[in-house]
Amino acid sequence: MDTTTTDPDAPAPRGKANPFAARSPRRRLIERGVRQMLHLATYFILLCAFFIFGDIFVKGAPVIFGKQYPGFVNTRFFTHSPETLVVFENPEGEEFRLDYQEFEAFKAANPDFVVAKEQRNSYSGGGILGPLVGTALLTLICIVVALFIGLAAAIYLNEYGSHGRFMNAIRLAILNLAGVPSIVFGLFGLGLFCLTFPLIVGEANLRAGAPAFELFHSGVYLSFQGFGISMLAGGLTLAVMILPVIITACEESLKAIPMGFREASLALGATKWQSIRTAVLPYALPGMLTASVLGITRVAGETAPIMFTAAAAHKDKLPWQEAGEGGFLGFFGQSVQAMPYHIYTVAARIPQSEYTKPMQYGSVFVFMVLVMLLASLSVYLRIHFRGKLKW
Amino acid sequence: MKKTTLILSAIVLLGAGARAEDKIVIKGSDTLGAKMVPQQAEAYKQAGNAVTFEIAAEGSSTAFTNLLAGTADIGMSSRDIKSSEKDEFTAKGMEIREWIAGYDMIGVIVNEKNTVKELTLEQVEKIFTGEITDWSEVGGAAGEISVYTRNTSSGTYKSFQEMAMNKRDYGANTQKMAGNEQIASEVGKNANGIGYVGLAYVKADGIVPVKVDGVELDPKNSKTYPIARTLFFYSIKGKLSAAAEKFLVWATSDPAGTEIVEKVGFIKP
Amino acid sequence: MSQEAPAPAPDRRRNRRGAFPRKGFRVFGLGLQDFIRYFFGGNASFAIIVLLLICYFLAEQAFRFFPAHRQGLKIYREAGQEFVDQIKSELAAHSRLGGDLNIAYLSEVNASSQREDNLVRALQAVQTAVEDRTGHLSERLEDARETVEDLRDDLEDAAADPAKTAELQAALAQAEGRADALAPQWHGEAEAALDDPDIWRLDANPVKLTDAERVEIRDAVLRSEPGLDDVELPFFDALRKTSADKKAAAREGYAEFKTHLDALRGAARPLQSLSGDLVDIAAENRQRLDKFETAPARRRALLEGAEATMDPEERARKLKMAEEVVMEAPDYDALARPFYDQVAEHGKLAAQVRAAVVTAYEALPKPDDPAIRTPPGREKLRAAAADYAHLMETLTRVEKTLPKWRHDKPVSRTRGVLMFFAGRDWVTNSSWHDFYGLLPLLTGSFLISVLALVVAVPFSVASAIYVNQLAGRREQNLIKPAIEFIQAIPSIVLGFFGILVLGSFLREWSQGQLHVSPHGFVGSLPVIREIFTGICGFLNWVAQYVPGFPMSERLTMLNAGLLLAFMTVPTIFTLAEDALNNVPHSFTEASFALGASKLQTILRVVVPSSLSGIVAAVLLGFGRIIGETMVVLLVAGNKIQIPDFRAGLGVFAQPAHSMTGIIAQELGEVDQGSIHWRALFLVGMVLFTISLVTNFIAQRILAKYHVKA
Repeated sequence: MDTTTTDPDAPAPRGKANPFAARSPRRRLIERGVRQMLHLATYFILLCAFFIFGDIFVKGAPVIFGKQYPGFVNTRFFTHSPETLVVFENPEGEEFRLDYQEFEAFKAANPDFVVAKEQRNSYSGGGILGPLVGTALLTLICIVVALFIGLAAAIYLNEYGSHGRFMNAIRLAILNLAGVPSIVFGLFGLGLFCLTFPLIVGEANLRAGAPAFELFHSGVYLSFQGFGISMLAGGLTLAVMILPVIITACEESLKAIPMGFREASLALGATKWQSIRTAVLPYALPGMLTASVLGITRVAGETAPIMFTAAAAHKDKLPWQEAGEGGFLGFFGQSVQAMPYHIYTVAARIPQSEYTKPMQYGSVFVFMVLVMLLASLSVYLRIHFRGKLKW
Repeated sequence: MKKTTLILSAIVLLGAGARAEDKIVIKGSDTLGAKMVPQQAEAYKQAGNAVTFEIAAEGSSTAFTNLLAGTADIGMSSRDIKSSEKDEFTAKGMEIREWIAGYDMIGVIVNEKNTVKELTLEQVEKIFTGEITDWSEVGGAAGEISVYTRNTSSGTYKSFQEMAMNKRDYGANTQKMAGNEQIASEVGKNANGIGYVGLAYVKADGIVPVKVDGVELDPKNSKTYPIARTLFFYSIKGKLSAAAEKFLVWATSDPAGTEIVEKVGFIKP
Repeated sequence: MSQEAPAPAPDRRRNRRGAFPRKGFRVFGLGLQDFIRYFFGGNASFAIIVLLLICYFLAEQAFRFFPAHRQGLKIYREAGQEFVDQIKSELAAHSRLGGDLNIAYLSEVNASSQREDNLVRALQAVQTAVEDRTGHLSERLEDARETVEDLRDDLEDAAADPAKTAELQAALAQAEGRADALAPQWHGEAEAALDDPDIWRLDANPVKLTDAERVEIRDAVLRSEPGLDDVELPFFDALRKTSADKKAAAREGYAEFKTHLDALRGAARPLQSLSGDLVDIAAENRQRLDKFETAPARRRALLEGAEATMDPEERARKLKMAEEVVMEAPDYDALARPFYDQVAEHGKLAAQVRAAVVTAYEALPKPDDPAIRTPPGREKLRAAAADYAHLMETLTRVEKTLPKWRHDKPVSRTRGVLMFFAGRDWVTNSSWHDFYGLLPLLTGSFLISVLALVVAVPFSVASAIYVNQLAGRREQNLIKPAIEFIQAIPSIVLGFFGILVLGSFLREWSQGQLHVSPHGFVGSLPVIREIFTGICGFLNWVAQYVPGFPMSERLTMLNAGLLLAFMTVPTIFTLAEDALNNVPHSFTEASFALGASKLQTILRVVVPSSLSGIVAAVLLGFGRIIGETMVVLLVAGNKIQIPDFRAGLGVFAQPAHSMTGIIAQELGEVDQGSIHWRALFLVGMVLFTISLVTNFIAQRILAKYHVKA
């Protein structure tokens, strides 16, 4: 355990001049005790983590994995969106559990069946396809925007910027932005992206009450009406939130590239931008990849910023099934289900019973596994590239 | 410090999103929106109507805020519209139309282990306003009462206040829960808990409804039970799409629609 | 922090030849390179822009709260509600005193028959548990028995009709057969359930059952089969009777107590009826004033609507409605008249209340009275003493302020601000008046954060020291990523865990009810089960000495605080570890050279010199906790009340609401631009400010006290 080369417990010469000299057996016992306490504190944290993971895995895994081959993986859980779960009995007291649509089909197929003790559990049937898709889309928007801006900002900070008031202001802003509570980002996203973002729209799509200006009598308006509650608003809010993390991570990866690369390129007569493009960015790519995985991990689990900007508790269809003719904004302008919000719904809105538990633990289990995979990926990437790229 | 001026350009996006014709957005009460309306919607689609639904159930107040903002076609509410809300519609030049979705009784529920099975309306009022704080005061085993109520935008919160509490404010010792289901599950787990839920939710595990003023909570007592109310749909005159109107007519008068009202535990309109 | 960028070549604007030939292109004297530079600069300034935009959007809504709030307070005053609320505060103080005294009285009376009552409750608890266990069967048995009853009734009605009778008799026989077949089955299951010791675990019921009582309960449960009415249970009927007798006797003993108590509680009746009358008047006034506020807008909309319609009938209707909108200002003085009229009456009634309460309270026993035997009784009497002082204080205060009340006194700006920041009530969507007071939310947030920090700091700093100074390389490589994984757990998952697992665990623990279920995974492993049972026993013993325990709530500040502590461990750990890492090697080497041991070096050299970093880490952790939303929303219990600090450390066992939680819970439900909406933005603004200040201080500490090699 002890990695230092000096042997701290070697007997030291006693003397009053030496404040550290006294080392009675009692003293040693205390030392050992303190050491053990530090040790215990560390492992207690890990034990707590182990317990939380264990609880979710033990109760969640059976929802996804069956014991026998045909049901080895509960694919239904991944191919359906949340539905109402109908629990009922036949007159003999045998219990059935069916999702609402199955139940209707079942009733249609067996008109003689006497349904007894029917009870319905909202959000407890079906699967989690909708929330998974929604989270993926939100994360995608977020990471595309955040990476673009974050990288550009990092390039400025590391390559162009010189010390000065402007740079200090930017650094201060980044530090402070990192500490802003996520719910405040939610308020901000609601205020800016949902309600006031400028859009160019036709007369038919004007939102009542928003300030709008007609452009050149063309019937087209510049309207400060925002995107409404939509994927776009949510994704942008998340992007703003994650910006400090991405900037810092990108900057780290740029910093790691030796000065010599740039200098060599500049010496060959390349312009600043050319040297950045050809001699810096390609080598910073792995770092940026790691940054984006880190960003996705952080963003995928956030609930507060999307609560008012993007999330819907219940949606019939997947986004592309009802995009209609709306085009870009029609698709990204819809509200979506999202995993964290779905978990919030099943944790806070429905009771805990034997019928709702599979949905509750199943969702959390899948979500945890996904997040953990992403987290391990980011750890792996970091170690992998650290080993590989050495200058 | 050369030229650190910024070029800022507002990003302007082209928006052309038109709402698809056959989509019905319903927002409002959790009492209606958690069970009854989604099932009506599911059944309506099964009956061969090509529409899609978006349902959000955050509390009755949101029915009116969303109708006002134009973000919902239909509002569902477990209380009738307040005059101040009506004024807001008038002030925006809109007129509201009311549909009766059904009737509901609000059950006062306690934990099944609780020995108190009957309360007077006055006791209910005092418990929820925080005047009575201990079960021994209403004949139970000593223990501090944990009062669970709905969040403030809920219609149940408001109706209960009007019907059972003389319009007095809830005591500060009450805990605000997100939905009927959550109240039921909290009371079911807390031996000293009390709360209220719509008729459709009293069958949850671990809870029993108490008799209020001697009347049992049962649909057949709907005339005598002191805490009963009407459930509504609301729409805006002239702004209701044909598809949404067809659904409303179906849900409020077609036997297939009203059957569901009973199935989820309310009383037919 | 940034590297020194290579000094740009002085002649970079001139064309050069080389491996990368340059194209000429210039607008306003700026070349392509400059545009690229500004493009990146623009992106970098996004951080600043976003920060400014956040400030703008929060401030824009938040500061518009104050004028609206002031207007609301003005109406509150003009309508006379302020006047009535003062009387209400007297009544509330009085009712609290009465309530606490009553509970004390009941506690004394009920103590006389505690054993009997507990036995009856034990029977009920066991019965409920057995019913849960046999749920399916007992429902079916009950159904079958009901069918039998119904058929018997039908049979009686149909006595005249032989054909029907025969049919019914056949059905009856069948139903009886079914019930008879189910009954033994039920007995079997019920007996099996009764053999399980888990069934006999009686939540929070302190009764210790003797074997004879167990047999009685068992017998009673088995005899009261589902669907059978009026089963006679002589043992329990006798118990109930004894209980009633004992209570009656006890009541006699406390007759004097009761008389005074009733006198005290009844004393406020005239004041109550006065208050009731005034409440109605004030509510009516309020409605009138609110209507007047919105009248111009309504009228305008109606007129515009009339203009727009083509239909003459519709137009006439709208015009008529517009006519009917009452536009003239109400007569404020007349509205306030009834209140001024009642000032004298109130003075008289309040004096009566005071006199009656003083007499009655003096006659009632005090907490140290030997006649008071139960601990809860004493406790409640102690609470009553505080209530009494509070009531007297309130009476005196109102007596002074009420005559000075003026309906037309302007509401000062500071009062509007103060009512928000120092307001003790957050009451929204009220039928009376909406109050927006930050204090309950602020205290909730702070208490939870403090608890979380108190728990998290020792653990995270200890493990940072351990990992950085004591652990071997391999151990480091295990622990550091593991802690990073903790950071990756989404907060909503922790909230979920708090609701489903931690909450129930804490409550069971607090009630000393922890046990290993023999049906679970752990229960099936013999040795491990013993170990766990031992641990549970120990924890149950500890629970007696924890302040605030036992608690009946699952969702409390304690629950939220523990989860947040867990959540913030990685933050503090990482930063503290960094700080420890930054301590120059020469420090440790010097310490070793002086003969210090490893631990002495750590505690007296390394930790003190990295203290600034650790403090900054703790501050940043605090910023993270206070801004956390989902865990507190789900787990803290959402009770908007300033916690009762009289409970000492037990205060953490109470539920609370938080600033983040209230935004998340209410923002989705309120009208855009309404005062409530703005109040929530203002809360967001407060949060934002707190986080900025915390952050700023942490950065300053880091910059100022950083130890350099």
